[in-house]
Amino acid sequence: METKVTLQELVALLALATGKQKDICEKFLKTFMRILETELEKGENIRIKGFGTFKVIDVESRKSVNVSTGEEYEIPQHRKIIFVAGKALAARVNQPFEAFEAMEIPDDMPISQLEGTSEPSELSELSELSELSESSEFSELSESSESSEFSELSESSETSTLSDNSDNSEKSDNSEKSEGSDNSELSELSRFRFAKGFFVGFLVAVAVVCGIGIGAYYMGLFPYRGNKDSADAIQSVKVQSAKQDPLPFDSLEEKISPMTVSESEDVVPTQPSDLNTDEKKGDGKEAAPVYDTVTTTRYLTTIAKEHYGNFNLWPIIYEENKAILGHPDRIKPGTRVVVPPLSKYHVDPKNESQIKEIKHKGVVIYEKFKK
Amino acid sequence: MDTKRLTEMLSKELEISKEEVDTLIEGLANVVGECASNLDTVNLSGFGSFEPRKRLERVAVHPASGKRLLVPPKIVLSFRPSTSLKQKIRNGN
Repeated sequence: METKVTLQELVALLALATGKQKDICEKFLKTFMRILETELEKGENIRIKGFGTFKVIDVESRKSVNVSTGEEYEIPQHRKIIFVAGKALAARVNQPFEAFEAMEIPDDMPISQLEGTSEPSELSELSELSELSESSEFSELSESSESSEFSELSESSETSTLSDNSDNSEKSDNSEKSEGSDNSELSELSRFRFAKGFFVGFLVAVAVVCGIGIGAYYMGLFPYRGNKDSADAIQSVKVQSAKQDPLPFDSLEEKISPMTVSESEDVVPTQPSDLNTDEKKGDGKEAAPVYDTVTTTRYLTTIAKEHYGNFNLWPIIYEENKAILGHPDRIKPGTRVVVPPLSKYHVDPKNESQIKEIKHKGVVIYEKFKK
Repeated sequence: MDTKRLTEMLSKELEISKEEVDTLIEGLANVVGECASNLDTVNLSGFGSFEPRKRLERVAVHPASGKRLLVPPKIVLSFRPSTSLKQKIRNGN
């Protein structure tokens, strides 16, 4: 992740992907680049099906300033190369986020709830980004701060993003409001304050209810859980949950911390597990099958990460529980799933190519539900 | 130039069949796509680099309905030509 792939490495990858000899791949790439260069120099666009289009466009002259001397000069009219990825390639590139959808924001939620810190520097960064982004049919109001972390999970992460950002923006909001108090916009501000107060109060109420719910759950107070069951469940969950393990796995995982798990009040403090992927897999002859439960903050990926050390292995859990699971992103909270030992599926958590296969399985699972 | 012409030229120069060229192009797209989805840049010295860029989630306003949307984060692929290529292209005919 965030590493550079050189030409030689690309040749190797291409040979692997196509099954062709390395020297052919190398010749291909070099010839490919040469043809492209020649055509682009002629001012010709090149459209490659399945890949994308390389275009040559004209750029108008514009005024600019010499940064060291401060004197103005003109950048003359010239041409530049742009590349537009084809649909298939763009989809492949965005695969880590393919399950995400745009979500409507209810009208009564002020934008300040959604922003991180709104400073002028970030707005200029926004304009730079929007210049680069090819498709912007929407006017973009604001951009959440760089510190907003990614979550690889679906919609339910968004509410926590909002609540997190509202904490950040509260300070800046208050200062803004005290400054604007001498305007005739007093009524609007007080309305915002009112709405915000409601929103914060609502969140607190939700948090309290969730806290009580979790407590009751672990006390075994819920009617449909027999006492014996709940005792077992508490046992198995406590034994299996693990703290953050240092295993080096997928790049995106390191960047993306499952934000909701750390930020939400629903997390139960966990202990190191002896059933974790310590390179010594359970021999599969365990007396009690291993269970876990999917909740609003515990997804298959969370469970996979805790039990297998790699969130990408979630399809294994899905396969095991296929019968009761539908769309992987829409599993009813409270669904109890069996967490099979990796040995059952002959999976080695360190084997990169196996991990890739399993990731692919994940894609296949999603495909089934797309149509 | 379109794909057909490109494959013709490559097929001739490399002395391989058009199907093989198609496989190679498809393979290239797959490899670049996979690297990009892992946020790795593919750097082709002298030509340019295919660089993945993250777009953070943002609030957008639908121009027609006036409704506000939360657009999720995504990764897009961009191409950055090498300096030598840029120079060659810079001055038109």
